[in-house]
Amino acid sequence: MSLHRIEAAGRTLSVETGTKLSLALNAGEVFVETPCGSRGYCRKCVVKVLGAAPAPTPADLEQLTEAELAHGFRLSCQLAVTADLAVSIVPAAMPDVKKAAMGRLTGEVEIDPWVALSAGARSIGLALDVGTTSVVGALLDLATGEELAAQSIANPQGVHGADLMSRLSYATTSEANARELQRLVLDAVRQMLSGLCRKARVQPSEVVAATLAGNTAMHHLFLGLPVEDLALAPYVPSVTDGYECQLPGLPPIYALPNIAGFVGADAVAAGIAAGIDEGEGTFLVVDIGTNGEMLLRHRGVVHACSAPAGPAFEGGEISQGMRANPGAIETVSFDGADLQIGVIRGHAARGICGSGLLDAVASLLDSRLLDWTGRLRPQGPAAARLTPDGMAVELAPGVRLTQKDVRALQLAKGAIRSGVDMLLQVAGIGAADLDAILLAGAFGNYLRRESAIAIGMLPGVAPERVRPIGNAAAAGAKLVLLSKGVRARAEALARTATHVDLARHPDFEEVFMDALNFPRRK
Amino acid sequence: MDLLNAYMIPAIEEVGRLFGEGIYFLPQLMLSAAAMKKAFARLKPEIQKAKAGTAEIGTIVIATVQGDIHDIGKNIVGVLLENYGFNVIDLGRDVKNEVVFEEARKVGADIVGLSALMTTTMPQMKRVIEMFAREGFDCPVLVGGAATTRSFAAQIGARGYGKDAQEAVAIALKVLQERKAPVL
Repeated sequence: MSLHRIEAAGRTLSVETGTKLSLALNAGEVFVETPCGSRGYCRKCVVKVLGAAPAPTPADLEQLTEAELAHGFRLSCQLAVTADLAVSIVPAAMPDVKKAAMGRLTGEVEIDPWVALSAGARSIGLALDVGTTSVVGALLDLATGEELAAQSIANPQGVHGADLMSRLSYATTSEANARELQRLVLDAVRQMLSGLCRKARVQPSEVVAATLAGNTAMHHLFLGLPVEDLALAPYVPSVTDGYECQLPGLPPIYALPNIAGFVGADAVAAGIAAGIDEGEGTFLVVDIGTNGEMLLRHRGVVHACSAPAGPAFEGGEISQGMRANPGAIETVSFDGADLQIGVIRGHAARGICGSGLLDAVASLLDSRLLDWTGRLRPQGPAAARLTPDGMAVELAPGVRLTQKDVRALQLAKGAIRSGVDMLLQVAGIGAADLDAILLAGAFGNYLRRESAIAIGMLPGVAPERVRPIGNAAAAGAKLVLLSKGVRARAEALARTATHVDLARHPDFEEVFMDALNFPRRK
Repeated sequence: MDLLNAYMIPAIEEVGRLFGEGIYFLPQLMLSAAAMKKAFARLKPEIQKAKAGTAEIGTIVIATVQGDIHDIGKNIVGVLLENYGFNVIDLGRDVKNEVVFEEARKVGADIVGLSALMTTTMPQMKRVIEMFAREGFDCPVLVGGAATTRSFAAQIGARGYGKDAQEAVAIALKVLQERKAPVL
């Protein structure tokens, strides 16, 4: 067996021949994202091969432009290592939105920092995406755009409630509570920063700028802005414009702008990363989370909304729901006779994770065990899986999906779909007019798009038009960090996007009721 | 009257039972309730002709609390309550606490039903109950909505809690019966 040397991000890795480059890099802690499951269609894992690049794979030819191929760009998930390689990691390797939607590509990451680069020393920047559940930070070289280190930690505010509304509720009870929430997250980020500096061999003094993306509530709590108006109707942010400030122990921070109370700087960052403000075409960016955020671009106008999906996709409210850990059912299919179950790492099944839940419900619809109203029915070839009382389906020994679980999923997917449909309605178009649906966020990366369409969470477009784009909010924070032009785009997007307030829209109730049902069989 | 008692009331009770068991879901509940509402509107003049005053069993004022604009749940409960013969006065959403109190007193409400969907707006329910007590307004308050729980309802001194539309109607009927029946 022969070994090859790979040089990337200042490290030298030793790799067995034939290993896929993305796997080798991740094993060596030089992280590249593979949200499409290394299937070669999301472009998130693009690297630039320095020197002679291996011949492009079929996926490279499909996904990359001639210019990119000529410059040595390759999809690392498709590249089997058969020689020594030196590669540079492309920060936030961009999803090819423009290609997806418009058939052209402008490609490479724009580097034009808004801080003055220090002469003599390196200039490093910190990109932060502060989410309700986790905080993602990355150090980038501001001169080259190279990503030096990245880390994800749990948001320590979680002790005061898992969801955003509990946090707001806690913060509005007293001034001291709000300060405590700020202190918790700042302490954690300072600690993360020193860890990142060690990992990247960077002096803390070399970190000269930071960007912050996050939902409006996390953004406000991090910056110590008042949240009273955010907690109650009409849910007005204290700050919508981009916001600069200096917090103790951190580099000067530029916080991305917010669009509305529940469409925050994270949605702006994701929109920028997806290129929703540029070029032609009609496309939709959906970040599927506890609070789903959606941006639709049509004829140069961006419409935005949010819809509370709740925790069902993370396993919450599902009787045997769990995160995607060993023992979770992650795939379910119907082969015409029975359900086929796939469990993570081949363990005995213990529960079901979000992607498994979508698959399971799609398969139950396919097998006719579930009708379009979401009712379990004793019919079809897999009917033997129904429990005697007819109120649950046995997916694996000891793992059941109950009628109540199906109802919880209907509420969650109905929330997402009603947001999508309302945006389409406001723009005066139908799903057929969409050039692409881009899925941001962790869950968007793991779900099977065919299942998301089959259960009606997404409208019935051709599955190829649905593409995962990884952690787009974190990508947007990095892009803004690297370029004043991109920063100006973020400001412009937040200013010009029209916010559609679902709960106040007269048609919402009817649209939501429709979205709760499953698509009817032909 | 026969149509109402022999068909419509049993029908909506059956719908409520199916919903409670998870066989029907919100769209089916909404459709059934809307059908009932239409049929009831058509029959109302006849019923009133036949026997004045019996069409409505009691008056309930419902609202989504101050600061909260989510009202689909409250609307479903409202239609169901009408189906069961309540005179429903729906104050809408994001309703100020004082308005709830003033309107309830003005119409002589038998019951007030409050909905809150957000953790941040739940505390308004407690304030309404406190306001009623302070003003000496004797009217039971029922609460519900995604953010609330049975223990929260008990803690703030609500008279009852509905975890879903079906339970909300059941508790409203029970409280109304207790209120109308002379206490021995």
